[in-house]
Amino acid sequence: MGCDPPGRFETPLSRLKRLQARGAGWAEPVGSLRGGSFAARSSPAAEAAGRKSGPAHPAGARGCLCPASGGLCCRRGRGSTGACPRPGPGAAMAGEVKTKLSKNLLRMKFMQRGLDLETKKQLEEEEKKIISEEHWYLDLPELKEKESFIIEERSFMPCEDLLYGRMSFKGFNPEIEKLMIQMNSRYKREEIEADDTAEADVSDEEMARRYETLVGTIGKKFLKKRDQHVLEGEDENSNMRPSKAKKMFLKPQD
Amino acid sequence: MAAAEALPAEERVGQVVLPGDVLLLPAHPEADGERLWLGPGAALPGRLLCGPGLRSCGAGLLVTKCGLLRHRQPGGAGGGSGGAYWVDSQQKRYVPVKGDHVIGIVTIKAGDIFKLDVGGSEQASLSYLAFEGATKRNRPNVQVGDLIYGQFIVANKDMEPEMVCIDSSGRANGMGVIGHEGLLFKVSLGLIRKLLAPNCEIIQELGQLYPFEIVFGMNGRIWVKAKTIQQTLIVANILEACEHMTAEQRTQALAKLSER
Repeated sequence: MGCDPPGRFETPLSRLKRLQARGAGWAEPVGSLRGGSFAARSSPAAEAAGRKSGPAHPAGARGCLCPASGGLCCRRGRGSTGACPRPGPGAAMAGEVKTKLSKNLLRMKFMQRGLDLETKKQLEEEEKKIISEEHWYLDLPELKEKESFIIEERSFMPCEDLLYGRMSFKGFNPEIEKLMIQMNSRYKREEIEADDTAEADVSDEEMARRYETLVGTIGKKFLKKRDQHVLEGEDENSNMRPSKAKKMFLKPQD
Repeated sequence: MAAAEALPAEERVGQVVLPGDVLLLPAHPEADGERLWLGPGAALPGRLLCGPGLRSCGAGLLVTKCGLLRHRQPGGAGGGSGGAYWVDSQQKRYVPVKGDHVIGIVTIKAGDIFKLDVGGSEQASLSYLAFEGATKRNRPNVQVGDLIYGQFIVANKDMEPEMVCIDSSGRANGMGVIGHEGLLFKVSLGLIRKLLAPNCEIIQELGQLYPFEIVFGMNGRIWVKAKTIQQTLIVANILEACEHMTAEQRTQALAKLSER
């Protein structure tokens, strides 16, 4: 009956390995044991003959069952399904049949990681071929884009420099009078500024100086606590530490 | 039919042009590579502004409206250097243009948007959030029949025009609902532009008469408010009439008024 080997607790993975070592093509999941006997289906010949071709063996619960990599060939987390491209033991028995998986299968994400570089390159080339054949192009001579010097404008505002449309006279509406001065002077200031904004507001040297200090300041923020103390010690170059009055929580008096 | 001669644009400044005339522009030197080396302060030379009534065609500019051809010199202080050409035409019907400040009348208040009549072919839409300080809870107090001073943000022939009453930084800048009193009347578009020109004497002279407040909409609508109804009507009449008066007639009329 299903008694474990004495003195040893067997995990499913170790059980699989044991079965592989014995030469079984694939091990059944625990639930389908027959009569508790592990050793029942172990004849490799029967495996190769009766089952599907070796290379395309489905993966077990943990991963695939390649003896070569010990179940780590296309290892995933839970829920892995799919065929392992490496030839399984059955193929080795059957004599070096090359893996023939469909292209769509190989293109799937989970297959990409296990592929060789060569197979990957081949896949890419084939894809490019397909794309370039279907790709339509215009058989025209190269046209140079003409730089247009003319801006088309449908509004009169930039042409005639019109004033702001809201006006007030003799103090009828003081807010509007303030606005008038603001808007009309802003309009003129914009014209003057347009020439000045081309120059940099801050000179290059000052920018470089600012960045130097900025990097240090921000860098300090991300230092761990121990390093911060070290930094402080370096700065001061003495044993004295600035005494910080530790701020305690002051209980409000009733 | 004899084809119209294509004359250089400079020659025809100040003359009457008709749709279909071609204005030649001075040929630009092929300076693609050179332009990149200009200093940061210099704007692109020869960047011409082709204003309303003109369209660029292969040889130069094609006139699409009849009127007088105007030109502005490429000024150093101007943002658009390279000069500007446009056609000064008379029109009463307004066509919405992006960036124009107009006076609209609220016709429909439907949920989140207001529909305004701006005098164009379609009504403009204005969202209730497009006012300064408006939030979903704090709605602006706008009723049907109110006057609103706003600007277009979307105005082309394919879409319904949209207006807002705030500028790009979120401030009102004088836009929004115009007060309840006062008088709204309509004039031609050319007069509005004339009145809003930088050195307009009419406005300066009127400003000496009475204290009043005035709003110009680029769609030909003017709103005036003065202390009494009589003063309001006087200002409105002068503005309507000054389109066809000469300067002397205008000064005479104003002198008569200031005597009273």
